[in-house]
Amino acid sequence: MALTETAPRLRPVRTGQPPARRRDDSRLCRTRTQRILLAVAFVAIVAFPLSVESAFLISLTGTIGIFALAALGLNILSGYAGQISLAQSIFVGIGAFAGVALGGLAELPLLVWLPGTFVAGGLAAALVAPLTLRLKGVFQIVLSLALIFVGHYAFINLPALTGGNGGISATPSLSLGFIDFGELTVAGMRYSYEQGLFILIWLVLAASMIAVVNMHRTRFGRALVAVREAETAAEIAGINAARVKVQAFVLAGAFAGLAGGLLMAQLRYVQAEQFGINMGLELLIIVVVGGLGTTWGPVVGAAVISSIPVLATQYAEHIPFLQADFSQSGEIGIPVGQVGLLIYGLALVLVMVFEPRGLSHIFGAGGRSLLRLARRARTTSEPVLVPQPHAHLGGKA
Amino acid sequence: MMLRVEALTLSFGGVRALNEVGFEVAEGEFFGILGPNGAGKTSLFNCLSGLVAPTGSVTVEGTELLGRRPHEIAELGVARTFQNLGLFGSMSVTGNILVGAHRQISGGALSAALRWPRTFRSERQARERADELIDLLGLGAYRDATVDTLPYGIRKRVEIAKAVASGPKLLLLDEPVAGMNHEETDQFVEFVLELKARMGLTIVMIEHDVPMVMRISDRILALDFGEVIGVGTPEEIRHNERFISAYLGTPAGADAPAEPQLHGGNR
Ligand SMILES: Nc1ncnc2c1ncn2[C@@H]1O[C@H](COP(=O)(O)OP(=O)(O)O)[C@@H](O)[C@H]1O
Ligand SMILES: [Mg+2]
Repeated sequence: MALTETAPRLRPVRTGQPPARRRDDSRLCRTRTQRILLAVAFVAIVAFPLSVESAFLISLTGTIGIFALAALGLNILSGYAGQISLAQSIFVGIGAFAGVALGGLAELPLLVWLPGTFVAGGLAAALVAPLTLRLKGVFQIVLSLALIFVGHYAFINLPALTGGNGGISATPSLSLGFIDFGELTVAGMRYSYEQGLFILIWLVLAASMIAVVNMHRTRFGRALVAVREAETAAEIAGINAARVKVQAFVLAGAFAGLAGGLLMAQLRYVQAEQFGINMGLELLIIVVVGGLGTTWGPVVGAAVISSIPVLATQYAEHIPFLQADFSQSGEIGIPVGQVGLLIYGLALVLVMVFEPRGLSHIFGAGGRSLLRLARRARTTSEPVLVPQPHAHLGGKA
Repeated sequence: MMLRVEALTLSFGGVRALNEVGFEVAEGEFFGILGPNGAGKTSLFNCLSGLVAPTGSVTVEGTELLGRRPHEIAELGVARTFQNLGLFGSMSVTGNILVGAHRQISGGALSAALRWPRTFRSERQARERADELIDLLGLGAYRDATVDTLPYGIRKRVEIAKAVASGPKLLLLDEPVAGMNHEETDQFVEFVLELKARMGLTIVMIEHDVPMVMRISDRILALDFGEVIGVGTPEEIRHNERFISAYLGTPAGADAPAEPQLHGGNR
């Protein structure tokens, strides 16, 4: 039609603002500050355990890393893809028992048994994913409860692998050949198993976080968020929503399995009991309190949620109203065993009411305003235009 | 033939949303669809994009669409916009456009996790194309803004950008200028024709703005009560008795369209 051929060239609409800075948002680090922070983080992962003597602190921070890893997986499923699961603990258990089988019983090297826990968690998740993702909302919760019971039943009925109700111990190798995290020796100094394991845990966590950030900022990650926000519109854009959800579920299971493998290495003794509804709830609360669908949420959430009960138990005598053994003293107080539950509940309510975007958002906003202040202080006279870090896809790095 | 619809029938319980609808759209055509509220226009698009299961036949360049899932139809080069917008609220404008470009980008979870160079090259290229589209549609000022925070008129533009980003052959627009003022409508006409010329699109557009549809369409389909009441050039439709009475109330209403422009309202 004539009109089509003579259509005038379109003038891009002019606005008062200068043209937007064209950044490549799929990069891992968008600013120099982020690059420096990343390097500092890697140095800290090695330097921290080697300079800290306290076995308690090393084991606590190791546990935080393990829970952060399992929560990182759950965050893919619940945060990015918007699917609820209370059964993440079952996949942690599957990873732990796979670790017992591969690293303990079969005595395979670290480079086999640890990736094996990742694969085991992922395979188990792939098996049940088609079931759970058919359901929505409250039905997903019901099904994940069922999954926990079925998983628990399977664990206690495979005593050769799991030790049944009594649990099973294992001493997996932490050696890469040239370096053995189990008996780390640096510059003539011999470090403990726990110190070496800390490094392994946090290196695995850092690598996993980088992998997840890469996914989140590209096609797959956008597909997850799109399915969460508007499933029909995502399908119309060519996204196979069912497939994407299964992939999210499998990844969640795989990272849970990896966390289970590391937990097994940390405790060197695992029991079916551990991987029940309590851990499932704890992981979900970590993800929610830390910030659903944020990069740092799992770590921040794990640091708060997993450490407070441990700290409370450790320092019970110094905290008023906290009773190590409530039944015998006759005094009124909160029994230490239940303080965890109380804190989970409290944290959940506080976050829901005051900042539904989670703790990592509060910390992130705080950090950014500090940075702005610092920059403004440096360039006093010149007005600077600080690029506004919008909360867009992958924004909260 | 780009699009061929034959004997398309869709019922919701007792309601016949579409009854034996048939028409053809040639490649490169700008095809308008007119009809009062509840005529079945959106239902027709839902059939074309695989959201409902009608009987009959819909083919795009000879390939049958019925029985295919929505994402498979997208793969065939059919894109659409939604009357109520199908945007991803927490994502940026760029993010939404990149979701639209999903089928043009390569790489999955694993290759992204490992920063596979080919995947990230494809990602960068998609971002460059998204930026071009953003400039073309005058969305530059909103590039990184969260879609939820934008005014309706801007979001409608993002919706079109998202649909176009998939590089479709056939673009279905459902009431793209509803709620826009005159100036915005003119802007829309300008860039949609530009896009059509640049990308060699075939466009099917549902719209209530009769003068605008008459102005830019090559041919028009008029629907009422789920039935075809006329197909033809704007001139033919303008003089179609059934169209005049369905759309403008009475034949005489053609000259006095002031009162209820869309007869029946919501029925
Ligand atoms: N999902 C649905 N369930 C039941 N009835 C529907 C549904 N979608 C549309 N309809 C009915 O089908 C008819 C056509 O609707 P629609 O295609 O939305 O009309 P239009 O887009 O032309 O305004 C209406 O009577 C409407 O009530
Ligand atoms: Mg409609």
